Amino acid sequence: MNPMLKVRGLKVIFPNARGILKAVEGIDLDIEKGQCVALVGESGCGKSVTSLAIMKLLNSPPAMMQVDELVLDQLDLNPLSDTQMQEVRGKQISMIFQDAMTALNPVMTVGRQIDEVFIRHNQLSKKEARKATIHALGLVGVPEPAKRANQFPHQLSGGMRQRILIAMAFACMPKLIIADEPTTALDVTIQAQVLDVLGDMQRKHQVSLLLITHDLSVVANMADTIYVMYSGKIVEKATKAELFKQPFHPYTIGLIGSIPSLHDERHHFVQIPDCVPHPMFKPTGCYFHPRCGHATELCKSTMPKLLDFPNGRQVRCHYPQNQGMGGASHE
Amino acid sequence: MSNVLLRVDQLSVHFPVKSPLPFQKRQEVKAVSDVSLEIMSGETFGIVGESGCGKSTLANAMIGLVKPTGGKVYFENQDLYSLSTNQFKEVRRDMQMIFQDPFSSLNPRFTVYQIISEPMMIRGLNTQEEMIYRTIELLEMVGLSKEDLYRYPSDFSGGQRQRIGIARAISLNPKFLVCDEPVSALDVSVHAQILNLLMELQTKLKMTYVFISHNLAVVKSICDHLVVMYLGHVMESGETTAIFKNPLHPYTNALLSAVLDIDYEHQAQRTILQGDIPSPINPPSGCRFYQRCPKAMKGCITCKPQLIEVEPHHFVACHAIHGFPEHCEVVDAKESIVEVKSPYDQDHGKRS
Amino acid sequence: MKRIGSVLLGILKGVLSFLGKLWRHPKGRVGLILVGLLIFCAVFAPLIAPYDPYDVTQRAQKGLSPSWDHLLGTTITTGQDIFSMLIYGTRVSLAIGLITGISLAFLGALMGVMAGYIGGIVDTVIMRTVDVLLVIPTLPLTIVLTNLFGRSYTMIIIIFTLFGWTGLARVIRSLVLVLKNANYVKAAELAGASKWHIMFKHILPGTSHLLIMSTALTSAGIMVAEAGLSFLGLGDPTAISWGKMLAEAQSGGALLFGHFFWIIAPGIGIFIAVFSFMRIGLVMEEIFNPKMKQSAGIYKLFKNLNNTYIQEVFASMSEDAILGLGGANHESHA
Repeated sequence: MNPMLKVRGLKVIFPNARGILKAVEGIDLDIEKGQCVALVGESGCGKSVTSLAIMKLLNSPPAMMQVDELVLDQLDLNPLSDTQMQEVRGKQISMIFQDAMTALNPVMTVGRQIDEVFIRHNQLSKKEARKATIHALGLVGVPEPAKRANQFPHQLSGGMRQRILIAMAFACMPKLIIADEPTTALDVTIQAQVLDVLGDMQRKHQVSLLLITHDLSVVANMADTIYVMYSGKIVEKATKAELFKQPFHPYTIGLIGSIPSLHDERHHFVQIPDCVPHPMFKPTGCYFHPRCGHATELCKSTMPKLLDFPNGRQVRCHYPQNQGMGGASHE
Repeated sequence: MSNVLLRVDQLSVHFPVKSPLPFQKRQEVKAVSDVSLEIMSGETFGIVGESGCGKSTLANAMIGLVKPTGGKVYFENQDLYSLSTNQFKEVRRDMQMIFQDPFSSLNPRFTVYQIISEPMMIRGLNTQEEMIYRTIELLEMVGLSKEDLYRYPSDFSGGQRQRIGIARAISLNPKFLVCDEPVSALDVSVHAQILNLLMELQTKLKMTYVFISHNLAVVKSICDHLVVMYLGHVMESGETTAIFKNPLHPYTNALLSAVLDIDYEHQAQRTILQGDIPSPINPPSGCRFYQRCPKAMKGCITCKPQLIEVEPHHFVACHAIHGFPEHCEVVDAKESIVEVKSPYDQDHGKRS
Repeated sequence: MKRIGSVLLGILKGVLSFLGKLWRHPKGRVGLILVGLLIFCAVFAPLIAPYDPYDVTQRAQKGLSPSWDHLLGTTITTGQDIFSMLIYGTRVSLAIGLITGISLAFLGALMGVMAGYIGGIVDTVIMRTVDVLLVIPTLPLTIVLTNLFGRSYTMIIIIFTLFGWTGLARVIRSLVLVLKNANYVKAAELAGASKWHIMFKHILPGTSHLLIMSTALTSAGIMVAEAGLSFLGLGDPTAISWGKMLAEAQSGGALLFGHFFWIIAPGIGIFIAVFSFMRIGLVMEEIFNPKMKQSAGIYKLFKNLNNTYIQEVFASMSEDAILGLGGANHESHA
């Protein structure tokens, strides 16, 4: 299988006066064509930094990045200079940001902003670009696209702005779209609309989607494969069904358990103690051990390796749960 | 022991909007309009809705932070806004609030001790020793320790700051606590901790909660009664179990079906609403929801629906459910006015 | 009474902590040292200056060039020792600068906080007053008033204070409008706090960095303005100030006779005074806007990074390195 995106050994650090902040500590990602892959984690886990790193948008200073392999559909991105990356960004990889209001230029009409993408990457003339823009707006379900194209971002609602971002991202039909918390700031009903649009566009045009979020419910409804990230490291990788039916890592188990569902009758929430470690002051051994109910001396001293399981599953744990493989017994 | 602790009667909160030109008609943000509800002592009362629905404004008006432009608030049978300044301050000590953002709810220049003891200090009835003792007691109640007494908020994580805020709120043993989205700004793995803490404290200290949230699953777990609000009006209200079992109002239906559930296999049939949430400045007349309602009829444009009991402890305000009242004189009131504007605004059915 | 005491104590604590921060900052240290020097000169002037320029009996020969007796020479007009005049001049400049600056700060802060927090009619009244005061030109007014009430530094201080608080009040007011929406203010309201409690315990401390920065910068400006006014002859004719020295030097023909030190000395005095105060003010801004400082420092940090160490850090993160080693290293040196 030739993955659309292949990332091996991605590492990002932020040196500062007090030490080194290890944001991303060697992660591997594989995204197939037309697949939706989710990168799930909380604040401080390094997921946003990962997305910027893949697009090579991290400035050095303050960041330092190192990656063994960064290949987009057989195009090696690692050695590319910034000018060369500019050709790739927008055309082959594009990004949807969380806050549409800051991602859009407030003094340009939205139509012109989408036009720019077409003009830059597809070398269309202004007229042709405008036609393509109107078509793109129609595809994402913006009513009266010709009229909307002449409006400014502040005249549109949050959901509408997010659709504009989606239109911009899909404009040149890139191979990969990275969506960083695309619906976190939106209301429930609007979120549903926007995710629908995103999912449909992605499936219809066979575009690979890297969805970065902290919201497991969004992931449960959108993703095919899920990577769970904790404090800079990938701690679990599984397909959606496997992850929710039989999570292996105690963090994943805790996270899924603590989120209430509309369909269960519980009245007490399963809680994970303590809080996420600060990226500058990480624990020894396994980063999750201070919060893990199954931690042993081994967990406190040694970082577990990423274990491979059949069917592409991976877990980073000395005692993966839920499958009897030396799980319950520890010294 | 269920008696009414707080009663809201036809409450309206309208804010004037400064018009850019001097002779333009005065516009108002109608944040809350004609809301009436009753909160029983000891229960957890939920207020659910999306942005612009007025839930925060309603909560603020209930505890005296925002003066209503119409209607009344009765706390323990006293009309809150007609009390004298001193009486008002006394009564308000029984009502406290926990805020959404743990970072702006604590003064960064105050130590933890100063923050938690501030209500006691303002009241002025305790000695320094008593306050320190009580603060330590409160810290331990919320899961922090006495070593944290003289630290500053910047030393703590979001979840811990929220705990400090909770300690401050319960320091005077209030009867009534408004929790305004207490966990939305926190990491997911910390939500359960804080929610469990709140539930524990409620039983221990016998408080009544108003719980504002957009997370319907959490509301379902912990609230006894709830109201669903849209653009300042109550669309549906009653017992939580009744509403979730049988959501009647089209908005409630859409809201529930839009929720992405972690139990993705039981994802409900989705009703996607058309359009966006309108602004509370000059909202639509009649039923506020008619522009996006999949069951909208001609009469809904001018006639405002009343909250009518449909089954025990379950009230709905919808013409489609109750029919039009006699005083609504619109010709062809029952004619449907739903238009389909774009392919994404149709019923999408179950997600694969 | 106790309230006022605790407010003042709070202010003192705040000021001391700022001084501490200033000292640690290299540029701030310079400013602090210079200001300290100036204050020292002002307070101990009689001990430092070799002669007392006010004392008529200590006059020497007029128009002397610099010598060991008179380090900067003597004035052409009166024979006073220029160096002593320089030292004594600090008294006037610093006094006026600081007194006005601090009074301005108090008045401006009070007005700004009341306008911003109480709002309503108080806000309107204060802001319209600000608008009116800003329109009135200060210099002509000073000339008129000093002619009416006599020329004195007290007059100048009063005028500057009365007209100078407006700018600060405006700035503080905008900050207060933001601060008053903070949730901790609402929490205090819920606890039954009076408006004054909130204003003095929550809002005012929140504006403290702005206040101190503004005091420093305003004082600098006032010193220049005072020098200008004294130069124009509007100051106290009996006191010794740098502006007056400049005026006398010019009219006494210092340039004509090549008596340059007479002009340069007060000029340098003004320069050092203004420079040190402005330095403090600007460093304050850097301290409270940490982003400004960070971006400058990070480039330097990157240049000095130990490359092998960085490579080690990277290597420690890879899967192979995990085997057997103790997970993440967290040494805190760069």
